[in-house]
Amino acid sequence: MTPPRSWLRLLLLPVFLAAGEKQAAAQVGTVSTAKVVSLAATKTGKLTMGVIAGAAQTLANLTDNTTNNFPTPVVIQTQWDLNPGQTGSVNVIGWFSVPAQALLNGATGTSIPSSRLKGQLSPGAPAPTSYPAVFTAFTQNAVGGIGTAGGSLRLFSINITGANKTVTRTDNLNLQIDLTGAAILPPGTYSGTLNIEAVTQ
Amino acid sequence: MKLHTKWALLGAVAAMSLGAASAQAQVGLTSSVANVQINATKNSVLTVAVNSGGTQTLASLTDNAANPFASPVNITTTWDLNAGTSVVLVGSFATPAQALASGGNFITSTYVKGKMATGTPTTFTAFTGAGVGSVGTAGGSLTLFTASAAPLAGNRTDNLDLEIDLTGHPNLVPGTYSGTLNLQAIVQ
Repeated sequence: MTPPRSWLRLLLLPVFLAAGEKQAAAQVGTVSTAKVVSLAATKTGKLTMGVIAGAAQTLANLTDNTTNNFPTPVVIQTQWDLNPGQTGSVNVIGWFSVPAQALLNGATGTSIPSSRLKGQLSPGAPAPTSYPAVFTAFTQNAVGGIGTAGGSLRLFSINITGANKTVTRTDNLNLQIDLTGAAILPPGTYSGTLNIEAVTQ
Repeated sequence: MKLHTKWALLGAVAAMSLGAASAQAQVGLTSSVANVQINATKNSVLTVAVNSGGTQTLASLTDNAANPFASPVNITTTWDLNAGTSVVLVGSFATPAQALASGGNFITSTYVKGKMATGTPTTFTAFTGAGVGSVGTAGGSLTLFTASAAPLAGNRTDNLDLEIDLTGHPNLVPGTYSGTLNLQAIVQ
């Protein structure tokens, strides 16, 4: 029984090979349907700011009918990492929540409005596109939704380019209470909070 | 080819849409809010200034008569307060029994009189009153004016005329008699 089976295998092998060759030849050039793999990686823009010195400003002796300068500046550090093709400018805004009562004397209910509070920026490098070089009242409107109407001051605006798309900068904000021409203020301690925030446009 | 062109166009539109969405993402990006606490104190003010007449001199003191000084003491009182109903100006001698002294001889405050036409003693009145609050001395004081502290900020200028009235004092020992009249204001 063994010899005839072996011969049969030998005889059939070329047949199988020939058939396989024909099949292989028929599959050359056959392609599958295309499958798409979507890749997405997002680097979000970064914008932070903080007060690194001068977060508590104190005037021991406020005087009527003159300018009262705070002795030391508020030191502001702003950092950003932005796409210049997608960002026009970085703006830092200072504002008082209630402009009519920027500073309040809790004992008497008397207040100092934001029109009497002024800011002046001594900018770090590089120089901003715009900033209040002289003492300017906090009477501007909000910028990009940041701030309050009539109680804000744009501390600086800087256009974003490829050269400054990633920056850490430090600026000094000098503050003043200008009581020139104001009614006599009742004695007491006037307290308030200046908010500072950055926004891109 | 037409099919390829359509797919290419669709791809371009999709890419542009994604780009627009990314561009908008970096406009309106905000930082956190930092705060600066601001405190400013205006101190209360109550001052008395002698504008003129800070030195009063009588060259010839006469017994048993009123001896008025030649020119008044011109005084400005200034206040800026957050409370109080009145401002009181008081003149006083530290030691009423020795208002003026010449060695061991004295003129008491009983013989020294003041008058303030715009104030309380509109005729010459002796410095024999009590103090006001913590100001003045018992038996050696004279309230020169009491002004309303409303409004809480104000000032006034007054003339204080002085005299040494030796009426009834016939034999003061000759000599130069010197002393100090203190002027001080108080809020009540």
